[in-house]
Amino acid sequence: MRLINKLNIYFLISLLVILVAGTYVQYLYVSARVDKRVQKTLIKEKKLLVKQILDKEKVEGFKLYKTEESEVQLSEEQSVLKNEFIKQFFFDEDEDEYVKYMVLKCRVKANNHFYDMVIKKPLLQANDLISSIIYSLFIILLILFAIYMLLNRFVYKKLLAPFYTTLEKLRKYDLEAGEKISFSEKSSTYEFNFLNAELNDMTSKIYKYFDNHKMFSENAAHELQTPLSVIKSKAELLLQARNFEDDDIENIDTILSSVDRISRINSSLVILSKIENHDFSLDTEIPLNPLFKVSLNHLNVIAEDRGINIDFVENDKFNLKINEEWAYILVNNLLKNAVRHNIENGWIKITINKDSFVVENSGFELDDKPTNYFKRFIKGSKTGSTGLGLAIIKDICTKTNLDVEYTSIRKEHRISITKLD
Amino acid sequence: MKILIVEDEFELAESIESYFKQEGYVCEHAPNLKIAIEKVSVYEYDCIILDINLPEGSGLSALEALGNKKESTGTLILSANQLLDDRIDGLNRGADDYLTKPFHLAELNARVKSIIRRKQHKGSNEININEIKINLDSKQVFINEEEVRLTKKEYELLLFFISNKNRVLTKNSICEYIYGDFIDQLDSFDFIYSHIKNLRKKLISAGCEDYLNTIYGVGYNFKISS
Repeated sequence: MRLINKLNIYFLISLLVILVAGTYVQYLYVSARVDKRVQKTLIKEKKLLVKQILDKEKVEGFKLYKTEESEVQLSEEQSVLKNEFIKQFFFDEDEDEYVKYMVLKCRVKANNHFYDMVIKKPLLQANDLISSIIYSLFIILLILFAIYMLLNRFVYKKLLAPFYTTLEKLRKYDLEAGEKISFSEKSSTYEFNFLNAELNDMTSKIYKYFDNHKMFSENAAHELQTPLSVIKSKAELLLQARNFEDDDIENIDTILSSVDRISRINSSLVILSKIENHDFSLDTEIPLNPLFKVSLNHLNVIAEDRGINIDFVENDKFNLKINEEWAYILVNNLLKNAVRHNIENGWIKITINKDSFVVENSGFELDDKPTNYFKRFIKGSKTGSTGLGLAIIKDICTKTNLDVEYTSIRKEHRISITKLD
Repeated sequence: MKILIVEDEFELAESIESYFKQEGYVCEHAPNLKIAIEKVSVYEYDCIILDINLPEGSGLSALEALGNKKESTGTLILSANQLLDDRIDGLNRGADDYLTKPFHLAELNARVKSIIRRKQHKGSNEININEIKINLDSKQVFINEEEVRLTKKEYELLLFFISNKNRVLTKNSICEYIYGDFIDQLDSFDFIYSHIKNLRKKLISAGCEDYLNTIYGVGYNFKISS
């Protein structure tokens, strides 16, 4: 849910609370005021009645006075009673309902006579009062809410603009791509400046750790080469010792081939981390065609043993802005792959066009989706390979803006590499 | 034969030394560039094995510093860096060969021997062991003066065996010698195996003694005493 909608909901809920509480408070206040007013009127009326009693007493003996709203009669008690107000319901036949009255009871003394006096006045009906309060409050709040929503549309969009800019930057960011982002926009809102400052701080820390980590894997892999060389050479020397049983020799050989395997994986890791860590100098274009020829020359030694037929079709020159080292690794890995995962008496077809080149070869059926083989350490069932060859190809292609596509139909494999722009 | 090993990793230098000593070579070890230059200026070496990843910086400059050496001294570069740059750079600056760490001692041995042979051949460039004679220029092999026709790979294999005679050679080291860094899996040995079988057949039928001993599951030993 969007922040604005959330705010709206909270606002709406608080409006409802205000409506209920406001109505109650208003009701109490208004009814208290009305009570006071009515009481004052009653007292006025009382004075008027007393005056009437005095006037009438001179003419005739006053005993009882009664109207709809007041009743005066001669009292048997001989004392004065103070004003007493009571609220009381009386049935109103016209309205056919009980109506609330304010009643004044008192006993007054006039011309040495005591009179009991009861005067009443109808009060405002509570439900009438409440409903009119609710009605007026509701209208006010509705207008408020409408204004608020309108303001939301314009003000919040403007207010939250820096926030959305930051969000969009975060969404587009790709750490792997190596580009750095900075959240430098200044806004007049304290929180957004604070957020941006914290994000800057955090991302620079992430870069630092990421760089450290990358350099670490590169250095670690590099540093491993020497001890591996030592193990390998010592094992080879052991192999030459004359007094070993056949079993011992076989064990040493196993150590040797395991070391070979580690060092192959390790050297692939060195290459991978170098691709990730360093920019390629992409200023000059070099033709890849001669590199294919050099690589094929090396490959022929093993390809002819395996009876693999190599078909090399040069339709055009494929030039690429790439460092020669990486170009060599790219071509070499592609062709090595085609030979390594081939079958005896199989075939390889290499086609070079202006903007693309394709390596096709016979081989084994894949167990997995072709694209999965671009991931590190994903390899076919054959044990010899490191599972890093295609990952290296993919990484170099990504760095040099090439699209690499691997498709496989049963026992035929096809890797095509195309320039992206 | 005298060899200088310029290598900062003591254990590795010692392994190389030990392997070459068994070949009857005289080895000296220089743990850094300064000592290496001193040694080169005083003594004469047949081959210098130079690790170019020395702590003093790129050993390629070492190659130049050692560049004033005699024409007859060969140089083989060792590097932990598989990338092409070093290799091309090294060879351009006058190195005779290049090997990436980690390497097989047998391969280092074969390559150093080949460098020394190339550098020092005056007149005939031949290997003679008992009834076997190899002409390195014409790449011909003779058994009891009778030529045996070998394929390129059979010839390379024979040379590798003779360079590392009386040594245990693993399938892996043989594969790597023949296929270079293109071998990544053991099943390529099946093909090497058939080459070895053919080579053996050809040599025996030409009247050569069967020097090649199979070490079951591991590799071969070319046992010959001259």
